[in-house]
Amino acid sequence: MTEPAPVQSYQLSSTGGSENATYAFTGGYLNQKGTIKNTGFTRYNLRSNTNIKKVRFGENAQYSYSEAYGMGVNTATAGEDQGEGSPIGWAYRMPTIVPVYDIQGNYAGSRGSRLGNAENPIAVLDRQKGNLSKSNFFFGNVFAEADIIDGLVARTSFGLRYENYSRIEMRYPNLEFSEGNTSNSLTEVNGYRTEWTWTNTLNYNKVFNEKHRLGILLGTEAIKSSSRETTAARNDFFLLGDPNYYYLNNGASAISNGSFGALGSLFSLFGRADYAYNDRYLASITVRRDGSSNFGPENKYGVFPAASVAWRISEEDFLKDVSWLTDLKFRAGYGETGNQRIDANQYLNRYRNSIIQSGYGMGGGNGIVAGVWQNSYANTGVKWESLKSLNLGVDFTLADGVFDGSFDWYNKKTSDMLYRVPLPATAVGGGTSPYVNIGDMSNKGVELALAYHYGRNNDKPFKFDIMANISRNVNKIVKLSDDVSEQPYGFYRSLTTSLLKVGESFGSFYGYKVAGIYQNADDVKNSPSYEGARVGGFKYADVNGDGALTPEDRTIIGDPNPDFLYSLGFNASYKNWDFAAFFNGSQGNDLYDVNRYFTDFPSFDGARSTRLLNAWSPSNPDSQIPSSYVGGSTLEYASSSYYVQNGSFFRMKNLQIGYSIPMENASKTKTGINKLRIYVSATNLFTITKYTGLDPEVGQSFDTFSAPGVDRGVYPIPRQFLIGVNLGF
Amino acid sequence: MKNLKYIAVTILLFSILSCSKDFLDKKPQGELTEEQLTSQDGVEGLLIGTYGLLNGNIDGTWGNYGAGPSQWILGEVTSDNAHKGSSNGDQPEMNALEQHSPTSVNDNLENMWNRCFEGIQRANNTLKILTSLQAGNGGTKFGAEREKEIQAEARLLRAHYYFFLVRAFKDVPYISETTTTPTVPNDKDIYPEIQADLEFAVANLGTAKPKGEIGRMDKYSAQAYLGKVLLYQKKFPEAYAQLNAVILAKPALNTLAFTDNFDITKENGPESIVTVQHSVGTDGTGGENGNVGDMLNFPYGNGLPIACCGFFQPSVDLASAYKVDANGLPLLDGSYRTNPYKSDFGLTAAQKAAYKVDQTLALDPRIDYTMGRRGVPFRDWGIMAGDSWIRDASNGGPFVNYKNTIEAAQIASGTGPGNTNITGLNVNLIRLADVYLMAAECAVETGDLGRAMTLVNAVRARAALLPGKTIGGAPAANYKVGQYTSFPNPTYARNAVRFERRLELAMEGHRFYDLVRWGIAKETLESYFGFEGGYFNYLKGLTIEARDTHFPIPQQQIDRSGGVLKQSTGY
Repeated sequence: MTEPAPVQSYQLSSTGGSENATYAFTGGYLNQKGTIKNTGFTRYNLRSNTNIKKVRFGENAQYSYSEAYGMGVNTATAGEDQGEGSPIGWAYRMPTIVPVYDIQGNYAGSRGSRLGNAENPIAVLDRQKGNLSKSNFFFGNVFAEADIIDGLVARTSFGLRYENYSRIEMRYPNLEFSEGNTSNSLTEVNGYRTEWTWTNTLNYNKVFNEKHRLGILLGTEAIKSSSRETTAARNDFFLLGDPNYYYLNNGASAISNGSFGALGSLFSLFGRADYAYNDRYLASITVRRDGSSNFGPENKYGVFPAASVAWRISEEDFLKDVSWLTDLKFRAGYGETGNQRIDANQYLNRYRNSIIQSGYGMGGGNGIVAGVWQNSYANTGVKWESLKSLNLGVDFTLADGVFDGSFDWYNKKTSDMLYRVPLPATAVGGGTSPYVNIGDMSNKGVELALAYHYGRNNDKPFKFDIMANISRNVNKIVKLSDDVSEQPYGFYRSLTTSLLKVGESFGSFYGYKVAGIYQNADDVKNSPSYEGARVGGFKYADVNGDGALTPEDRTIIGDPNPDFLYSLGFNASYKNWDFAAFFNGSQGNDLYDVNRYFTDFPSFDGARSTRLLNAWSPSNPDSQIPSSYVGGSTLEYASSSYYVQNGSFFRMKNLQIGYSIPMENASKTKTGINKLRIYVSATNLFTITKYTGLDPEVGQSFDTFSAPGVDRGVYPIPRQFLIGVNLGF
Repeated sequence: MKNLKYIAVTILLFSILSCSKDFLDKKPQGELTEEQLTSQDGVEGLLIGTYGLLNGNIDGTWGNYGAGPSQWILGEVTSDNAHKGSSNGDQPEMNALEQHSPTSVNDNLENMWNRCFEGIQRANNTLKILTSLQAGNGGTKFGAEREKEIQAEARLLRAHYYFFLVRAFKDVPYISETTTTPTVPNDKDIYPEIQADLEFAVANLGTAKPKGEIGRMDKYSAQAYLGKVLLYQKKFPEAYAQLNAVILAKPALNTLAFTDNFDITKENGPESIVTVQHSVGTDGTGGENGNVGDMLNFPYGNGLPIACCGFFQPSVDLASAYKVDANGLPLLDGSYRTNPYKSDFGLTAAQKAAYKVDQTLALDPRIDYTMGRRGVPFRDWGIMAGDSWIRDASNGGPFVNYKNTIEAAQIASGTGPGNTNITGLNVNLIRLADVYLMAAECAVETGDLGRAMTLVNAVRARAALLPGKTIGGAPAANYKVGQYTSFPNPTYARNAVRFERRLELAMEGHRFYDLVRWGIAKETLESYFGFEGGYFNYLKGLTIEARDTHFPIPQQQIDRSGGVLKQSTGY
């Protein structure tokens, strides 16, 4: 299903200018084939910056065109969820006795007794190779400035982002699939996303008495964003899968179409004052008032102040003579920021008139009359989430830059967290629950960065640098609103993977704690048990001690937050050779491997993990893997610590070796080339981890909100080998 | 020049600041607000939406099995009538229901709970916005007559959704249009509320369909439903009155064909009393308004007109119950289990190859309109071929479901585009024969055994009119439906009425709920597990506990209720 995939990338840039104007142009091309068969990505981009100094006017613009083809063109990003209905999902769900092709050379599949409902991933990848998505992306900005009085500058700037995209998707008959379909179809999607930003500022900068530097900024910013997408589809095309023929009007049945869009705006007023004395004492104060269309009339605005001070102690007289101390600075900052990134109109009850969701055959027969239903429920009081953070830090450079580093301590408190708390069906039926300001969360942590540089100061032929970073963050839910005691979430099939609970980390894993395997009938009888408990099945911990295993015994079974994260970098060069390596790692985090729902339990017919070869049996009584039994209680594959593993890893992220060909004398005059460097690099060379899933770097899965550390089958990060050339003219 | 700059900057700033208020006011995209909806059309739309959930579906098609109006999982697979079917590993949560060991995370139960409460929300919203409109908060008000009628339709539908819930879960929170909290405790009997809604509907609906639209509920729908709800509460005289009213108003049962209830071209006839309309338009809705609840319940095999997915298979016990004695009467004493009818089940490959259906068996013809069995024509699909029509006969048995299937000839117009397993066949929640048999129960319990026999015989007389299936011109069985000549005592009468109810309404979603309200679920099912467990290991030795009269409340809903909802006792 996977294959080695070539990547080509080219960048060409040109910069230049004169006293009055500067310019920069960049062009690029990227062609990346997917490591999953029949997938790939192409991108062209152009970029320009111009700055005409005399008239205080400028622009920068960027354009790119990209194309992606094949199955899952929008999700085939490393670290992203693939899920049960994807080639990766099917590859682990398809029984291993099903071949890729049958004896007649057609695709084989799960149509047959007890073969489950996985689809042949090779067949899907092949059939969907014609799926194509295209995107045009433009980003541009123009600005103008004018002096009003000495030191006071007015600036207005207008920026625009615009993307339009289109996509075609084809479906073939897939009769080899147990739940296959005889029809073929085409779906076509077209849409745009746009956002403009208009910023106006007045900026006053002045130095008094050579030592007092004062800066004052006042400004407004307005942002408006909108998007719209049209989808249309038909079935039954005369020719199968020929893109030349695949236009919607050629489809004979199942005519469908739809569109949706979004609209949002932000308006801010802000002011900032900076003051510095002799570059030794620095202070800054900011206040902003942000308004968002996402909130109701009473809660549109949030006010967010911030202040910071810094003391460059190394500039003080009493330290000026300390020769080994090159630079030393203490920093302290406090700031508040707001978050309004939620779906629009949460403060309103909203209804839809729909033929699908609320239609009914009122007249009998096949005619359907559209009806109305409430698809979204209001929280009239929804308001800004705010983040208050206090930061203390120190930066230092020692021995003329041989050592440098920084240390930070922070305490962040998120208040009124915006969260879509799923309400019971008695409140919202099948509609969408609104975002609420659910509670407060705290993040406290430290970050330390250290670096050692050799040979830089006196430009020795052999130079090297070592950089190390380590950070620790402690996350805790401090408060949940009154009507929420704890909030299980992260729904996947019958699993509920995650929990919000006061005093615990965000997204803690939630479920039964496996206490062992029932060894014999007496064990079942004498231990806490549940309906359908059996010899060879899971015995869970009776957390509340009532002698029975019930949902009340669910508890926290893991923490997706690491104890610490770290990285290590190493650069070296000798004459024309250069070398770089980068490693990163995470320690002490847990991962929740949801895929075991399919591979380790009889939830669905299909392939099983080789883990089960070591399952419990009377002759293998120490195994912690339940014996396979399709008649077992569904509680055996409920969310439990069986799904949770240590997710710590250490990974070699990147390795690069380069050689620059000396150009000073020989060819410069003839070819115009003044720089030529050839390099080879490799990414993701090795990973040390005990995690048994595909990849320990798991993205966050979103259903209503993020469930960190829940692995729903990620697209693994590929190992990449790269050969490159840098040329300079 | 300098002044111009000041002016320009000042104008700029003021224009930016002054437009900010409107700038931050953005209307919902493609959605209606309450204000826009407070009109006659808005209220009528909400009412249509309330009907729209009768098929148990909001959108999409897969996964709406628990809430399907046929109640095939919670009403039939849980009883002695049917198996989940398909293969053992497919939809294991349904196995747990068949074996009466569901946990509170069973997806079919969540589906049932969530969909019913969506229906209730829609009914409540209809009533709420109607009240607001009539209070003068919107456009033109309704006249008093239509106002009452809308209330009656909405309250009848609300009663239906609550009835579905209370039958399945027992302890159900009651949310009305005036409830303001996200949920309320589920510690009260909600039958009085259901009854009140239905009584209101009986009083305010006319005998003609509202607005002349056949899909709507009328007075007879309300009376029949009220009768049924009263019967569930064992209020026999009151139920009897409501049910009798319906019987009197409708044509005699023997003038109506049994098959019309399961024929897409004959639906909405006089026998349809409370009906869920299923429609599969060519409007691109993809079958969402069709019978999605039963979309898995077709035979399974290559080359069949509809071939998904082999679920909901009649039991050997049900097939055998259609055996009749020399007088054409059912074997009420349970002796039908002697020498049971099990088609080619359990035969060796050689025996199967040589198998011929026994055409001399004395059978009630309703068997061949309730299930497909090997050797007998199945609608216009041809002769039912046995194992090649079945996904895994060793798991689901030798029979296939009949009533929710349609004629092959109707597939083009009667199934969803691209989804032949989603049909437009209606599901009758209450049909006239059901009303007869419910009235017969009331008659037995109020001591009128003669009338009970008359009603049962009416149902049987109509069954006797069913054309027997033929194989090459010869009857596929010795079809016979006799009339009872006497109900000697209440026990006999009760047994005869209940047996008739099973034969007439098998696979229509009643059986398990009937066993529970008769108080005989434990004895009946344990005896069934003993019998049927002889063929299907997974039923062997199962027992029924007190709690198994209902199902656990979805844990997810308890989790979301902030401690207000309590799991029902025993779970």
